[in-house]
Amino acid sequence: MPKPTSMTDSLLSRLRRFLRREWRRAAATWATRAESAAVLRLVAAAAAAGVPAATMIDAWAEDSRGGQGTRLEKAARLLRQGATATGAVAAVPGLVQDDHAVALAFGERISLVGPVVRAALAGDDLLDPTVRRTFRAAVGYLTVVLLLFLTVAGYMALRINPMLLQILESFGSVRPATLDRWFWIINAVAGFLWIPFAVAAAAAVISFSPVIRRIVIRPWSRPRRIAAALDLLAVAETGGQPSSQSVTMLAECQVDPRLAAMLARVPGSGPLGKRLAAAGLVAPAEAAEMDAPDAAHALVLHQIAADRRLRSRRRVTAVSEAIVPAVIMVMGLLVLLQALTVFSFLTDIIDGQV
Amino acid sequence: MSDPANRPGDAAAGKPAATGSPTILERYLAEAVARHRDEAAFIRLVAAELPPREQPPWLAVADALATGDVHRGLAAATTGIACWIPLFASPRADPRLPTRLLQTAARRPHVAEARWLLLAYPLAISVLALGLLGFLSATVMTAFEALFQQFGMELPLATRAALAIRPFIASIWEPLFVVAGLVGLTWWLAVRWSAGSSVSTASFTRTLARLVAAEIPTDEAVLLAGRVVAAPALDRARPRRPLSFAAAAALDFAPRTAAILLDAVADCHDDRARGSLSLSQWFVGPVLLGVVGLLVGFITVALFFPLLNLVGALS
Repeated sequence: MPKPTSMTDSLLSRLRRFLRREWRRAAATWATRAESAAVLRLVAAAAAAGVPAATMIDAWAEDSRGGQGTRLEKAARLLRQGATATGAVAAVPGLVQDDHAVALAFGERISLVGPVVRAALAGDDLLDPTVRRTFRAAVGYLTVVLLLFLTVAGYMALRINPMLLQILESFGSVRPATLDRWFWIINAVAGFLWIPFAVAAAAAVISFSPVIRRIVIRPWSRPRRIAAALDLLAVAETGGQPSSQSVTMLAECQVDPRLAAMLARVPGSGPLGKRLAAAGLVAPAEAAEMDAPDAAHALVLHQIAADRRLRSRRRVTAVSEAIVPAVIMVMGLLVLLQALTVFSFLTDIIDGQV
Repeated sequence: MSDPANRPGDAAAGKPAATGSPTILERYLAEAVARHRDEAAFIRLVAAELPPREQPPWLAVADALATGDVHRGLAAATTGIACWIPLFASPRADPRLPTRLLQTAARRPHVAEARWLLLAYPLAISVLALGLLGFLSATVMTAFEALFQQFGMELPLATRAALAIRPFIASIWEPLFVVAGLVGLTWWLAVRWSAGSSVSTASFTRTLARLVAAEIPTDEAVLLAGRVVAAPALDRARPRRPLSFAAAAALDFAPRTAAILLDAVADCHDDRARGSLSLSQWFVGPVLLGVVGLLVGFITVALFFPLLNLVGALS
């Protein structure tokens, strides 16, 4: 029979190995936005300079840490064996993010990797730290405020309130109205206490499961992806690609099935604006602007994409900035009510004593 | 680049590779001063468009060019060698020089400003938290302690701990402020190091791209670019920051090809730098808010609980 210490050691080392393996698996599944963009930049630069992408990807692997370094080494190996950049990306899951994979595949399909990658990265809001910072700060504040509130409210409900009731019984007093109201609120809130825990559990599952994360995030990222698709079509238009072909190719490269279906619905003939509007990719007013007699399609497409990104960014910023003060105010009001209840209760008792 | 007589760095042809000797910088400065004396007026115009605190290095360059004084140029280069890079990398009457000068001037030190903002927020929260603690210890906690002593109550551990920190805070609030300042400074330096390293690497790589595109010999380009970010001597065979492996690999190709690749590598480092700043900015606020909330919550509960016990006992 093994000694207890060895058993503990063994358990600890197994736990450590398990955690390390899970961490690597979770962390090695996705490149960050900057890591993903780096792959695209290097592939595009290598194509523009006419040098093998494998050399630069391999060297960049030396400059990269963690899972992305390993993924880059694998990709470089595949590239040296003759794979295309799209093939290497497909063979190394997590090397680049979905939107970037679409841009790379589309660039290769229309033989315009450099311009397509430039357009995709220039319009990439997720590379801009401002939007991410606002959103993450909002989530961070919400988490902290909710945790603090739950801790205080839980302590009050479990420890303080029974004491108050006990004191009331000892005095033989009738419950003050404020205390009754407070208990009603506490009971009402307690009915929804499972929500924060469920949200936390869902967040944990989403963050550790790329497949689920992809499914959950997809609807939210669709407006951004439509804007990116319009940008890519503009690049193809500038590059002299027939729009019907480029729309079909973009649909084939898409990772979002619904967006792919929308692109597949674009009719093969007619003015470009009307065709895109028929598939729901642009609004009728935008289509009219695009189909105006002297309008440059590429320019208008870029403009529409930029407008959409701006609107989306404003929406995210506004929601992020509005949610935090609203939740803090609600929590503050509840805490104030709680404090007033307890103090008025104590005042009532002291008045009664006096 | 077609006229070899005007090509930057041609005076170095046939000479041994750079070994960190200051004469290389002097030589490039002398060549730049000789080639670009006519640009002094334009550089003054560029400087006039910049904020006042960013003007001095550009005005120093303009003065050195106008007077043709290399030693003045060398003095100017010690504080702002980045301003000289477009001049090193451009032949006489290069039509691209104004654009390059404007691009260099437009690259503002915004990261440093963001760092100061980063420092201001946690410091403000820390000062608020310490002030709140000081206020509580001087007023509320004193009254509660007297009350508890008057009734001779046995206090819970949390209350004893809360009351125990009162004299401690009263006695050490001055050193506490010093410690808070030091923590803030350390944190700022950590942020500066983590973000700054990527920023420096990006700046180094972009400068290197410009110098290599001008067909300046690689070792000399590495040396000059290293001076822009105040890096120690760098060796292509053993890359270390700010010379990344990718940049070293790019240097193996022909100058124009290398310049394209180096620009892409610089963009990658820029993305990294922006990401690291983003992390430090969104993370600090919520964490500090949580710490302050927990502190106040702990003291409130610790003082409140025995009060209820007291009322219960009285009842």
